[in-house]
This record gives sequence, C-alpha cells and structure tokens, in this order.
Amino acid sequence: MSFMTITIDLRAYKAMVLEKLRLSQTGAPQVFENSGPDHARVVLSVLVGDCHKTLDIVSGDLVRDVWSAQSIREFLARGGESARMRVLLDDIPGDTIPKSSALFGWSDPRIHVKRLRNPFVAHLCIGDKKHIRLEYKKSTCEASITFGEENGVGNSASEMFNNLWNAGDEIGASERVAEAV
Amino acid sequence: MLPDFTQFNALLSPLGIAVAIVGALGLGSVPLLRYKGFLVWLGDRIAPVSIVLGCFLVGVIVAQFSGEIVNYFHLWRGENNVVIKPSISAADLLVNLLTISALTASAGFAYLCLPTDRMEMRLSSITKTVLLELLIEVKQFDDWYDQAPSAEKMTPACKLINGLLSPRLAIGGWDSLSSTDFDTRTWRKLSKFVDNHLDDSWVRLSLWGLLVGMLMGFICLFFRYFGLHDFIFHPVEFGVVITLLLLNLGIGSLLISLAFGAHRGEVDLRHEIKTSVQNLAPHINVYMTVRRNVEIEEVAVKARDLSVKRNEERAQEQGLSRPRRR
Repeated sequence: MSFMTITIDLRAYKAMVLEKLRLSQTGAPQVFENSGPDHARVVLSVLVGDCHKTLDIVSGDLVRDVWSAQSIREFLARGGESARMRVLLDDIPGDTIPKSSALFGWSDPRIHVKRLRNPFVAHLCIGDKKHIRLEYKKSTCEASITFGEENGVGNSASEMFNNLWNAGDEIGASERVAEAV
Repeated sequence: MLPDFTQFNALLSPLGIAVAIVGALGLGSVPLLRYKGFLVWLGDRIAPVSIVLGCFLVGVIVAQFSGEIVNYFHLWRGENNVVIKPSISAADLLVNLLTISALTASAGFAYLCLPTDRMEMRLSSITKTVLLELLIEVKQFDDWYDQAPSAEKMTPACKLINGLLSPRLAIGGWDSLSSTDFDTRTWRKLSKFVDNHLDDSWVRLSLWGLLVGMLMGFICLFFRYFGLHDFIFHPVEFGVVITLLLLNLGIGSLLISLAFGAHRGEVDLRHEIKTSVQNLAPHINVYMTVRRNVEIEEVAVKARDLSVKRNEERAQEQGLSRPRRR
C-alpha cells in the first residue's frame, strides 16, 4: 500500500554503492559518506570485493558485525600468492585476537597483523591504493568513502597508513591462533 | 404508543444513511476549504464521490422497490410454485452485515487516524529515500545544510528538501509552506499529494456515516423485536441490508481509489523531490569532498606524529637495552 513507509533495504543500498563503484571505474573518482554499521558493512563488502592486490586496514578488532570473513577470503583467492593484507588493530586486549574478530583463527602468511598500543583517532581501509574509507567517527561508523582515486588522496591515505603501520607492534602468529587452540 | 412508520420506512433507513454520509462529507470538507473551495475540491474527486453517492442511490431505489424485486426473483417461492415464507432471517443477515461493517469501520479508523501526521511522515520518508538513492545520508545533508550559505538555503530545492525532512521543525510545519516558496509545477504536485492524504479525513468521516447506518440497522431490529413488524423479510430490512452492502463496496472502492490517487500523486512528487535533490547534489558532493580532504589531512598529521613518537620510543628502548662499552 502506498501509505506505508518506504525504507531502503540493504540490497538496494548495496546496488547504489556498486553503481558508485562502476562510475568511478569509468569516470571521475566518487566521493560519498555513510553512517551506521549496516551501511558500513555494505560499503566495506563492496570495497573489498573490488580489490585484487592490497588491502590495508586500521580497525578496532576487525569485528565480524562489520567485516566479512568471506569477503577477505575472496580477496585472497582473487589476489593469489601476490595478495597482501595488512591489518592494524587498535582495540584488542593484549596480543590476542578476540573471537569476535573476523581474523580469529586465521594464519595466512599473506595477512600481516600489527597492533597499536592505544586507540587511534580514526579507522581506515585502503583497497588497491585507490579505494579509501576513512571512518572519522568510530562510535557511529560515520565515514568518508572515495572510490577510484589513485593519485592525490590515494597517495596521502597510503602514506598515512604506512606511518601508522610503522607505529604498530608485531603480533606473532602463535598469538593470532591462540584462542583457536 | 410509537408512531407508525410503515408508510415511510421503505425510504427512511437508506435516506437517513445517505443524509448522514452527505452531511459527513460537508463536515469533512471544512478543513480543506483553506486550500481550495468545496466545489473545486469536490470536482477533483468526482469519481470517488460518484461511487459513494451512486451506491446510496441504488440502495434507496432497491429499498423503494424491494417488494417488487423479491417477487420478481421469486426469492420465497419453493417447489410446486407454493408460496412459502422465506427461511432466511433478514435479522440474521442484517446482524452479519453489521458485524462486517463494524470490522470495516474499525479497520478504516485504525488505518486513517491522524492523516496529517501520517502525511508528514510519508513526505519525510519519501525525501529520505530519494536522498539515499543518491547516496546522500540525512546526517550528511544536515551537516551540509548547517554550514551552507544563506543564499543556497533559500533556493526552492533546498527549502523543499529541508522542509520535507523535518516539516515540523525546519520551517514551522506544513502550514508555513506557501506557493511562493516553490515553482508552480512543484507546488502543484506537492499540493496534490497533500490533498490526497488530507482526503483521509473525509473518508474517515464517511465511515462515521457507516456507523450511523449500522445504528439505523439496530433500530430496525429494535422495531422488529418489539413486534411492530411481524415479518421475516421486510422491505425496510431488505433495503438496509442492500444499503449496508453497497456502502461497504462504496467505501472499499473509495479507499482503493484514494490509494491509487495517492500513489499517483506520490510518484509525481517523488520525481519533483528527486529533481530537487539532484540540483543540490553537486553542492553537497563538493562539501563532502572538501570535508574528506580536511579529515584525511588531519588524520595524516596525527599518524605522522604517532609514527615519529613510536620511533623515538623504540630508539630509547634500544638505547637502554644496548650494553655500555668500557
């Protein structure tokens, strides 16, 4: 009935995000924003779904509510041996990856994990150095997303991640799978 | 001693209902007179009004000629052409129809209450949906609006979107919008959509007429049980049954007509809102791009500082752990 409230369901939202991605591949970079964990999950699945080579992430603990282990698995399958994933966690207890994390139980050599001693002001995801999601309000998952900008902002974001990566401390493989054992 | 109504009963019940409905039409139109005159309003809605009035007209005619109708269709003739009294109790039929009418009225009231609030919620929901189709979240629109210069805020597109998102808060409610705020075409479509929704109050009052008809039916039952009409299938009851049946059909078709009309109006309005959002989108996109650049720069500085600080800490740790040379 037309009097009933219309809501955009997540499938429709995903279709719109995919359209933004398509436009970025054929024309100018696309910039938009998202709010809320549901939209964040959709945006990240689309972003990761278009990556083939590198994935650089700054996250709390890569929580499963937002991050899809399946998307990560598919990224690694697409990239093959040359795929590289760097994950910087800033909100994990000690050196162990919690069960709520999408990385829990993983020991893939292509995934390199570090941790920051203190929570960082923002979270970040960079895919193939051209797709960027900068989450500037972590509590509400408000983020700015850019699709298809390799130069300019893409380089700035990569440099930013490299600085953070440098500041991170290693987590050994044994710690990553400790909970699984 | 109660007066003898038999002379007028054939017409009394359906006419009484018709008077109640038409009176409700008049009362229901009073709030709409501020938008347009009653005759103009009536002319725009000639189809549903014709359906309801036509139903009542048929009901009146059937009640008037009910005796001839039941004879013509041999409703109480059994085998061997023997005239027998009908075994169907009109009172039972009437009670069943009254029950159905009560359900219809209840559903109608539940569905149609607070039409103005629902209209505003509907407009807000449509606007949010259209914004999201261009991947502009309401939060981002609000942020852009807060910092937008006054000249941009006063554009028709901006006033439309901001007003629809929060009609009660943004510009003082729906009443403060006027035709001068928008171009003619947008205003016409907005008005049409609003009128369709405000029509709900008219339908709601028509449902009051349905309740009045139900009350008339109960009055007929009252007369029957007190023996004023010692019959099973009296023309008056037959007339009331037909009237109520047609009234349910009339109200149902009216609701469907309104739904389709509202849907059409909504499609047109949605197009107007989308056009307005598309006009605003470049400004909002520029704002989001600038904000993104600022945020990346701010976060990049913090990342650089963190890296430098961590390098210094590591250098200190290494200096402390290196054995001293003698």
